[in-house]
Amino acid sequence: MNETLRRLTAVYGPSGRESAVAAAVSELIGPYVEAVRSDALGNLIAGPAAIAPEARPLMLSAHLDQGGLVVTEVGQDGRLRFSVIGGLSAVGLPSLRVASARGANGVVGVDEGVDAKDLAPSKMFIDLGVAGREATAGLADIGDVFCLTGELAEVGETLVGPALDNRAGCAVLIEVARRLAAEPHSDRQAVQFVFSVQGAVAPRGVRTAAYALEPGWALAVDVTAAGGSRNRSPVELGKGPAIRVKDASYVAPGPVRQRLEAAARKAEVVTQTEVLPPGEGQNEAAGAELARAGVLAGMVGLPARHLGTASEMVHRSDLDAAVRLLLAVIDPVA
Amino acid sequence: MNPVHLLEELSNACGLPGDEGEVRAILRRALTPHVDEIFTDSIGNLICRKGSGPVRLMLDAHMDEVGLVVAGYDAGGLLRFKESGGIDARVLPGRAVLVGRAKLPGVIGLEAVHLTDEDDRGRVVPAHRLRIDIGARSREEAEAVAPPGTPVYFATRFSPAGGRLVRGKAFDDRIGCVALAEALLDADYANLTLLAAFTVQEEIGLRGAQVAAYNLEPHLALAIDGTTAGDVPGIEPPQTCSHIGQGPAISLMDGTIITHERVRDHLVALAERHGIPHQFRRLTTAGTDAGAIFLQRAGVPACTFSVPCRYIHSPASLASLDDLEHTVRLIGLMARSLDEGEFRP
Repeated sequence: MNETLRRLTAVYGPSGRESAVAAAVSELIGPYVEAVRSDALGNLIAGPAAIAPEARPLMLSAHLDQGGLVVTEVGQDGRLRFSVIGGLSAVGLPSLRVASARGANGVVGVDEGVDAKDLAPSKMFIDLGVAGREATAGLADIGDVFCLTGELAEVGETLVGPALDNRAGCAVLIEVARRLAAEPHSDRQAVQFVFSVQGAVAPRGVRTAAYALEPGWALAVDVTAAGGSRNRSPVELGKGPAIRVKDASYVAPGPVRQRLEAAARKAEVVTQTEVLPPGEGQNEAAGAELARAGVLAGMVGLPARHLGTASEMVHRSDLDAAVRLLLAVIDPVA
Repeated sequence: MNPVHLLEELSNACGLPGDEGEVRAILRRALTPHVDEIFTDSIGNLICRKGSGPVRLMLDAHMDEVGLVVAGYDAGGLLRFKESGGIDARVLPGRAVLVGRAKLPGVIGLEAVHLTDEDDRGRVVPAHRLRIDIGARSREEAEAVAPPGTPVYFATRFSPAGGRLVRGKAFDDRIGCVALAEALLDADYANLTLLAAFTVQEEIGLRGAQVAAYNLEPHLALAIDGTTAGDVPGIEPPQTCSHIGQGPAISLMDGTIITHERVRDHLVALAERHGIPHQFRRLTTAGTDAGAIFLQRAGVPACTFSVPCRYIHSPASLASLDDLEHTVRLIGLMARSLDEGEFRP
């Protein structure tokens, strides 16, 4: 999974412009599934070529997109003003390196005289290292989206780099697909893998994918904020995947918790239970849950620190455990 | 059909979220002779169809405007109210308003200046402390003519404002409605089913558009709205959001949607190819019907572009007829491009 993650975190793919990541995922998962296709919004769907309508597949989803900075103005001074897409941390942005789809490289700067406590995207800019608007011609324009750049690094038992939200989730699903293909069972339930769009902003692509696939169950794999730096959270790195019980958009239905907990016991995976404070949090399961006549939906969280920065951190054992958990959900009898 | 006359009629008409009948009637009368099919759906959207080709293109503009709703009474006959849709409390004091379907004249009372002290004069009075005065002398008299739930509209009448500018209320989104009407008139596409949805309840949550898009199952959708133009002294881009006279403002992203990249890029390419002024909407907040449309069923590629209007969500907006004309042209170019198979959704 390390190599998959190294490749996926290096691909440009902010919310709304996921085609390059979708192409990379398509290449990686292609050998393990019958069919890969894209839908109207750019979601990548991988799984059996045909499913009987009454079969109600299990949908496993992970959002493809990462956060980004969309240029809203090119100043006379050559500074690019921007808005933030997705969950990038404003206070973490200054001095980070960024790059756009057309290969412009820059650094996030801060306007003169801004106090640390007043840091906000409106007081920042992307510094292309040029002087004046004319010098930006051909380099960058309004509407371009810049993403954080950085190489994936192994730091002890953890992996550190940008876009682990949610390339880590994508990598987990690709690994699940690989293991399922390595041990086929003729009576295994149908599994559809969905790599969804715009999930870093809100559960959007996952909703239309669920409408199209009509799954009986939908499990979303995504990073979730762990404690240990800035955040208070009972979820910790290295203590196993987190089962989301409640957030501002979602309450886990009983059967979903039971199925996940039973699978955890069977696979001997230690999990954490995640209950967010009132009014906080959203997740992709909520996007799938209300599709058509309803879907039993849940979220498997990959604990992560330093989310929204260029050095997001996940624990390798949490990713491995999430793979084993999902396999046990799919094949409950060992 | 003269677009300026239609805009005048629509701007002067009154229709709060959920109560768009007057606007709908004007559009129905204006468009029935020019379309193949016209009907009102279950939630009140007015739907017009022209053509029956295989590619379904949905155009969207909302009929509702922001306003106030009567919520209670003071003993002396003054009306208490709530906002329907987003209204900045700063625009309210001292306004002339029209109360109810009968359009009773009223005023949002402002405390006489000689009774305020220095400090109060600088502060924004919150809406819950303002009152509408219709000249009633008692709670009973007020309630008899304006029962709870009565809509209250700004009293602005449409007028030219010099050059190509026009002034009136509710340009967000009556100007979008005019753009759709014009696009329908021009429409003659062998391979398209052109579906114009004049939607309800956009200002309180993009509601009508959800129903319309679910029913119409378009292959592609364009939402035409009025967006804020802050191109006045003291405001610098990107806070200006959009500029009067620079053409339709194409949305990159707002709080409800990141517009479909291929559709957006094609709109820009068409505008450039045909020399149509255009700009990007610089703000990434707020929302439009496209945010509801693109998530219907299995997903719809969608984009919003808007006529820049100064002072939206206030009693009087300013907009340019040139921007309206260019918006209509851009709709037509996209439709033609779809019709000819140049752009595939």
